[in-house]
Amino acid sequence: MSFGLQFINAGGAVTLDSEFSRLSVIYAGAYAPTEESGLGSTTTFPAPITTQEPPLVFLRPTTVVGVAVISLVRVNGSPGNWTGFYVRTESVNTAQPNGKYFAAVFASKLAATFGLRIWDGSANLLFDNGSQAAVFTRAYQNWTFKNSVLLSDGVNYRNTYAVPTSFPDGEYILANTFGMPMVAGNVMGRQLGNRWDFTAGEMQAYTTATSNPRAFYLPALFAKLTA
Amino acid sequence: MSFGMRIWGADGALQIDETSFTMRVVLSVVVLNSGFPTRQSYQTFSVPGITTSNAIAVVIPIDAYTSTATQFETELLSDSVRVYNYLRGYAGTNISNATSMRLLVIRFQ
Repeated sequence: MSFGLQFINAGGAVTLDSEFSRLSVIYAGAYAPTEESGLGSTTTFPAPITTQEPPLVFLRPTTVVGVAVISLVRVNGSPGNWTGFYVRTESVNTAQPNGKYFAAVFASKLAATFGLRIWDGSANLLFDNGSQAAVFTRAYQNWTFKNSVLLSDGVNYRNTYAVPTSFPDGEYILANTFGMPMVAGNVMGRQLGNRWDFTAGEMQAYTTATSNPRAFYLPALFAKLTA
Repeated sequence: MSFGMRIWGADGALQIDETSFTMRVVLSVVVLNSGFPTRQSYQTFSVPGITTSNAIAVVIPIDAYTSTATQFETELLSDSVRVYNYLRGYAGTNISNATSMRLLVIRFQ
C-alpha cells in the first residue's frame, strides 16, 4: 500500500486499511420461532441485501438450561435480492429457535452522518463507521470426533464432534454452512447440525446418516459485534 | 490505551479497538460441480499468503436446493485452497451433488 490509511492492532495485524473491504454488518437483530409449532424460525431482513454473494448469517442462540440447536439454515432469496433466513431447532427436546443474529457482507455502505469513512484507490467505499465491521474471534478448520451413537430408530447413526468453548457473551457462529447435508456413505448424505450444549459447556456439531463416516472437516468461524 | 484507534457506534458501544481482528475476503468465486475433472476429485484455487492460522475457507449454498443435495468440502493449505466433491479420508465412493456453491476465503490475520 503506497497511500491511504492503515490501522494495525496491538497484535501486528491490519484491522482496517484503504486496500480491502471488511466483513461489514448490514443488519443485526433477534430471531424467534415463527412456524412448525415453534421449531422453525424465518427472519425477514428490513430490506433485501443486494450483493451477489449471499450474506453471511451469524447466530447466537439464547442461553438456556439444556441445548440450543442451529440446523437446516437457509438464506432466502437469490443473488442481488437476499430477503432473510431460516433456521430450525432439532426437536421438542431442544430449545426453540431464539437468539440474536447479524447478517454481514464483504462491502460497506454509506450510513453514518459523522465519523470515519475510507475509500480505496478506485473510489470504492471500504469502511463507514455507521456500517460496523464484524470482529473475528476464532476459527477452527475441523472439529474433534467425540462419539458415534445408533439412534433409537435403529438405522441412523449420529456422530458428534466438539470444539472447546466457554460460550463467551456476544459470540456468534457462522451459520450458512449448517444447512446443506454433507457427503456420507450413501446417496442421501448426512444431515448436519450445531448444538450449543450450555449445560455441559460444550459446542458440538453432529451428523446423522444410516452410513455415517467419521471424517468431518466443516470449518467453524466465530465473530462478535463489539471490541 | 497507549496507541491505536477506537471506533464507537451511535449506541455508545465500542466496536473496534487496538485488540480487534477484522475479516476480509481474499477470494470469492462460484465453484461449479461440472468443474470437477473426474468422479472423485478436487479443484485448486491459488491464494498467496494464506495459512491455516490466518485464514479460513468456507463453501456456502447460493441456490435453492433439495433435502438430498450434499455440499462440497474444503481444505485450506498454504497459499491455496482445495474444494473436493467427496469426503477425503473416507473410503466411500459417493460424491457431492450440489450444482454450485460459493467459495469464500477469509483472512483474519
